[in-house]
Amino acid sequence: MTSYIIGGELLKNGVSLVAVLAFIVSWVTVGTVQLPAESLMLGRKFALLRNGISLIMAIAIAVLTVLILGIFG
Amino acid sequence: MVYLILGFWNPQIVLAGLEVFLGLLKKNLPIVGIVFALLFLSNLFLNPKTVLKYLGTGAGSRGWPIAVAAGILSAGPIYMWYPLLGDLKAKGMRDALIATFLYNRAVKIPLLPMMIYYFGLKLVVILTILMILFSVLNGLLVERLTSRNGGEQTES
Repeated sequence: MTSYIIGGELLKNGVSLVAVLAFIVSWVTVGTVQLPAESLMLGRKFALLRNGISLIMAIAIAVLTVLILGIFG
Repeated sequence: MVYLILGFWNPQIVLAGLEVFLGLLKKNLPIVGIVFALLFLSNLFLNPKTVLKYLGTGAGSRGWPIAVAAGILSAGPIYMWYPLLGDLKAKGMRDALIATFLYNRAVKIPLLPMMIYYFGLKLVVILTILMILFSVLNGLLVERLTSRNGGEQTES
């Protein structure tokens, strides 16, 4: 919830939509604080890979969202 | 231990901290209860054969909608879900579906109205669809890369 509010305010203050979306998506999909717990229950390699891939995907999703919005907006 | 020592110097801080802790506990108890109930039910009814049928390597495309829907519908702190996921993994659930479930936890239906308020309906629809699609890709990539070196042992 906090990420949406911060993202909304950043957008109002002129930050690019791609940056704001990447910020929001990485906030909700990447969890560094819970990495130890995730590593313990699901495996260290799984936890690191999942979070690393999610971080990269956050940028891809942000760019794609803005592109698609530009086409259909 | 820290609270106990601190209590000798400043009981007010300890009491304030305990109040916050009890508030959080009260807030999270329902979801803790739900997760424990799910753990109990999964141990009762979900044998490895059933898990493999719907969520294992032989499940085919059946497991994806289950993982996506379960991720979207799941509530509460992610810590509560790790034991259940670890248990299901031990019974044969694919890493791809676990990763997809975890990724779809980012799609929070109760918060969609707030997102629409800040960013507009079109953007939220596009973003949600992309996140669901990318959750599947995330799962596939994680599974491919974790299985490259023969997987790993976990505690569950």
